[in-house]
Amino acid sequence: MPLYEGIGIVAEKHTVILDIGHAFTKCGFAREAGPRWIIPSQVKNSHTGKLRKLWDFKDRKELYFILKDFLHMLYFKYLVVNPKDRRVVIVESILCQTDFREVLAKVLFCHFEVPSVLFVPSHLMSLFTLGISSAVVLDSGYSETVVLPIYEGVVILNAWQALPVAAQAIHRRIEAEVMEKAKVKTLASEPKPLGELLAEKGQTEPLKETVLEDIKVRTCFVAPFDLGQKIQAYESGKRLSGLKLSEEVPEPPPSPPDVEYPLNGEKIMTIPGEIRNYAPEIMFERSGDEQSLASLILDAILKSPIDVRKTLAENLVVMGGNTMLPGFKHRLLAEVQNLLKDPYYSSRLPIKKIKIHQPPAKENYIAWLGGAIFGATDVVTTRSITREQYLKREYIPDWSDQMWTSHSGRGRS
Amino acid sequence: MCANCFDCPSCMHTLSTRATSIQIPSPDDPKKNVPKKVYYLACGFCRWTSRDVGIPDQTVASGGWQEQENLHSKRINNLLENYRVLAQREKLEKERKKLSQRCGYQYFSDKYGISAVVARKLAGLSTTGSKDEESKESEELMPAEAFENVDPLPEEYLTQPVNLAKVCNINQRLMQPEFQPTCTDQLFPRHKHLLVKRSQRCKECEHNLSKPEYNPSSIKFKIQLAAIYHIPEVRLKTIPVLKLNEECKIEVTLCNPTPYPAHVTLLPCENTEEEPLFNSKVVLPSTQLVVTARDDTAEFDDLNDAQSAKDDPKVISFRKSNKIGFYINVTPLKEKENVVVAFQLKHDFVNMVLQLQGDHRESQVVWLNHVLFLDLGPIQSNV
Repeated sequence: MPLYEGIGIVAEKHTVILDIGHAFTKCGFAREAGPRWIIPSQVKNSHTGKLRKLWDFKDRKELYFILKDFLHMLYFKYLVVNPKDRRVVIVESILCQTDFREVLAKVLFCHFEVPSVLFVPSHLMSLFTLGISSAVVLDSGYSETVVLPIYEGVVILNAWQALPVAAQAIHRRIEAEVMEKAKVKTLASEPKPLGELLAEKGQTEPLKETVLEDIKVRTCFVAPFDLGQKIQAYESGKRLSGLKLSEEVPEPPPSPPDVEYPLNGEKIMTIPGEIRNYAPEIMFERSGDEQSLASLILDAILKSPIDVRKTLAENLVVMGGNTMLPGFKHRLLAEVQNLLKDPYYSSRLPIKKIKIHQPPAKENYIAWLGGAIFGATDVVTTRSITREQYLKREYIPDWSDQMWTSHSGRGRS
Repeated sequence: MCANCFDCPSCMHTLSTRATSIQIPSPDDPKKNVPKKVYYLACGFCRWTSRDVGIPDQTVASGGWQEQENLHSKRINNLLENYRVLAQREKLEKERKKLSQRCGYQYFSDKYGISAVVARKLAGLSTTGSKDEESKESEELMPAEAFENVDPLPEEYLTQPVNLAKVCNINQRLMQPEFQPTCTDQLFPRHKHLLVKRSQRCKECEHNLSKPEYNPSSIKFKIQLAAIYHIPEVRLKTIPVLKLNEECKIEVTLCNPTPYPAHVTLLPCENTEEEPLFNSKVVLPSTQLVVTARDDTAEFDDLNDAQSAKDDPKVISFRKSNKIGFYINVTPLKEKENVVVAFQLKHDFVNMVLQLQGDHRESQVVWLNHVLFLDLGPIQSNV
């Protein structure tokens, strides 16, 4: 990691690479092997002092002020560079709201006066960390999981698959389960269920998102395939017998050890072991329309042209902070392989092998790293939208927009 | 980043260097031990030390700490170089295309290298052209290999109890983005992050408001441009006991810092529903308030000429050289919150900065509007 450059030495001004996720923002400079900072995507309102999440906005005007505060913090507290003399590369999901990208461009160009901005799609960027040009990319972040196949550098846009099952869904399940099953010990009293304790005090918002996240990060893991199936069978059996639809209650699967989780100084919460692997199970449960993270991958391959399917199946890339849970990749592969035996897929997809890539980065900044590699090339000078161009038209072309080609070119180098 | 200072990877406090002595075998006589001074890093807040994670002690007090190396940096550099070459080639091709667009045959033959081959044949050269070098460079990039199997979940997750004290929380992980340790024994001190030197310029005229200095105490503000020399100062003088839904009189002073008489009008302010700016009703004096110019010699004057203006004692409480006191009536409307009122301060501003001496132009007068918030503290509860 480069240290302080010293006074008076004019170093080459590397491009700023930004990946603004729903939960965390990755920021740093091109040509570096990792982001300088990964910080929560939230900022204190400079007038009211309230903490605001970037993606919780009502309208563009509100978003403008949130982003202005956030980028100010990013530039002057974290990156410590002058926004005016560095180009910017924004790594974003192709499903990003138009409002967000337009307001972001407006803040960058009009308030911070950056020389140029380049928007790049996050799924495509992941391939730059691997040196390959075709893959199925699964990005599971905070709010949703998106799968996108890419063949020879061209995004197969019509084959995209998405499911609103990601970190947030796991947090919700942890919350529900903990409220029901966890017991809290205090110095004064006997262990009490958490739900009861919180109801006593009349708190409306019991556990903060950060606590749930911490529980997930420090205690949860993804169960191996066989155990996962047993957990799912047990939970659904329990639900059915609860509804009096079925008489027999299945055997509970062996649960991992309980965890003593300190809530604050004197309260200690005992998290039952079964929550630890049941919560992440939500990613592999086939929901109402028979979709899980594994089926997203196969559906995306199935929607792609027939002659690229084999290549795609042998190049699976997994990224996003949610995929960092221990055991995730192993389970995902097992699920996909199992699903291939399913008559629906086996009749359509005669695929034998599924192969997964190991990018040279932690999963939560793979897209960022791709952006840093991409942003270190000449492409930044040739394809960016410059400040002059923006001020003339006040318009950011969309991915599906024909104007895009005339402005800055498209695809990869 | 500071080269010599580190932050604690556990609690993000600054680490301090501790000196200690250890016994090492003497170089002259291996049987004897001699003390030697060594240094390690320790956190004064959470008691983390660099010895906890097995970082070897240093013999010098500052510097010399080993840097954590990103395992993938070589691969990433390789990728970087290759994509740079690729992008450069694309750029060149684009430029060539632009140049040779008119003569179609030339362009195609150029693109597919026919002309180069022909040229070489004609010149009788061997095939050590630039083309080979290019292809050699692109060969260096090995596409990543995919695997059919990944490491399964370690058994101990299912059987061993977790010691939460040894598992890093998310802040500790994200403090070191490239490594993201999961266990506390992988924590590594992080270089102290330095803050930026502050420099501010006016957005419109590029005028320097404050210059960056190495020491925060040596920051000099461009003093004659500071607001305190131009904008009338409003201060609270007395606040009576505030009661819910009862009007009370608050005495406020207004001080004119300019060498010109100030004409001040107070106007009500509109509230927004979503994020209320103020929570109480205020009745402002309806007349224009005139404050005389600042006169540095006024203090030494015995003569009290302040009463030359005829003031309504219901509005103006006192008048002394360039300072007046006046009343506003406030009705607190919300319990349990601090009483906050807002109003606009409209005053005239005579631009004297741009005026050169001896230049007898009419001085510019600008009317300025400011929004003011007064926080009057909590309501007296009914006892």
